[in-house]
Amino acid sequence: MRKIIVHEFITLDGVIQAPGSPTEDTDGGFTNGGWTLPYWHDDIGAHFGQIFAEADTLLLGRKTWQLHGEAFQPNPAEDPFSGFKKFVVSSTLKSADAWRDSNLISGNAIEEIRRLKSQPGKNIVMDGSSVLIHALIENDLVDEICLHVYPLALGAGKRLFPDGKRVNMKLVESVALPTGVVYQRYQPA
Amino acid sequence: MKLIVTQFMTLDGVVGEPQEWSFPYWTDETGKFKLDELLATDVQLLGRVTYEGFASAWPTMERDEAGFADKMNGMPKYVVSTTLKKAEWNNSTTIKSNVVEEISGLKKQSGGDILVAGSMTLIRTLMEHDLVDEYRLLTYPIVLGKGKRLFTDGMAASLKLTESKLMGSGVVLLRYEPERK
Repeated sequence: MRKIIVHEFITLDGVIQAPGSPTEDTDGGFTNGGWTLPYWHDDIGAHFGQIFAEADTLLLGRKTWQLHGEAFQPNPAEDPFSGFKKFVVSSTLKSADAWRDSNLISGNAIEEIRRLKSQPGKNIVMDGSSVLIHALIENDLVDEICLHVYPLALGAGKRLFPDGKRVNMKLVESVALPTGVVYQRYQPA
Repeated sequence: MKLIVTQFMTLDGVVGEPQEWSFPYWTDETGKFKLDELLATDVQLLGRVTYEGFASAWPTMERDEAGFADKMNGMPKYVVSTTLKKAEWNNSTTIKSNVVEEISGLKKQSGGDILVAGSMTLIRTLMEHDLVDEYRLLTYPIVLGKGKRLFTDGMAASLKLTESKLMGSGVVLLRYEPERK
C-alpha cells in the first residue's frame, strides 16, 4: 500500500492558510498571507527534497492545485513537480488540463483515493489543501504528517486538523532550525 | 519576577483538561521538568476555573518525597476572579480588580518565577497586555479534535524559539519568548 504523506507549514495556533504569499488565499478576509517568509532556512528545502525523493504523485485540493499549476505550467523547465502525477480533487473543476500530468477526481473522492493508494508506486504527497486534508484525516487515510511549525500565532485562518476527530500519533522526528521553525514528523500510532 | 505560561498541548493546540489525555505519555523527563519548574516558582498565578480545580485536589494529595505537593500547597497563590467568594486554599490571595496593574506590580518584585498553568481566560488578558515572558509548551502526539485552545481566535503572537527538547513518549518541550521589538 502506498503512503500518503502530508506536508504543512503550520503556526502554533494550527493555521495553515496562505503560508507563502499575501495573495495565495484570502478566504475569510485572511490578511496574514506570506507568514513563513521571514523564517526561511535551507533545511526547509532539504526536508522537501527528502519528502519528494520518495514520492511520484501529488494529491491536491482544487485551490492548491490551481495555485501550483498557475505557477509551474508556463515554465516546464522550472516545474519542481515535472515527472510527478497530479491528482486534483474538485466537484467544480471541468478538467485538469491547466497543469501537465494532472487527473481530476470529481466524485467518490475517498474511494478514488483508497484505490490510488492500492496501486503500485511511490509515496503520494499532499500539501496545502485544507479542505481535502480534513476528509483524509477523518477517513484515516493519512500515513504521515510532516509539519514545519512556525513560532507564531495568527489568531485566524484555516486550520489543519478537523474538529471532532481524535487521532493518536507517534513522533518520528523533531528538529529545530536556527530560524525558530521546528520540523516534526508524525505517523498514526 | 518572570511570568511563565506553562501548558500541556496537543498537536491541534488544545490545552484544556490535560488530565484526560496526558497521563499515558508521562515520562521521567516530563516529571523532572515539572518538578524543576515548580521549584523555581515563587508565585502561582491562576484563573478562577484552574484555581478551583487545583484547590479541590492539592490539599488532600498524598505527600511525595520530591516535595511537589508541599510546594504546591505552601507557596503563595494569586487567583484572578470577580466572582470567587473566598480563596480557601492555603496562602491564596484574590485579585478582583485592576488585574493588569496588580500583575505588573507582582512582576516588578524580585524573586523566582510567576507560574501560570491552565487559566486560558487569564492568559488572554496577559497576552493582550504583553505580560507573558515565556511560554513552555509540552506538545503531545495527539490530535483531540475538541477542547479549549491556548491561542483562541483573534490572539496573535510573534515568538522566538528558545529551546526544543524531546521528553520521551513522543512529547516535545517547546519554549518560546515573545519577540519584543
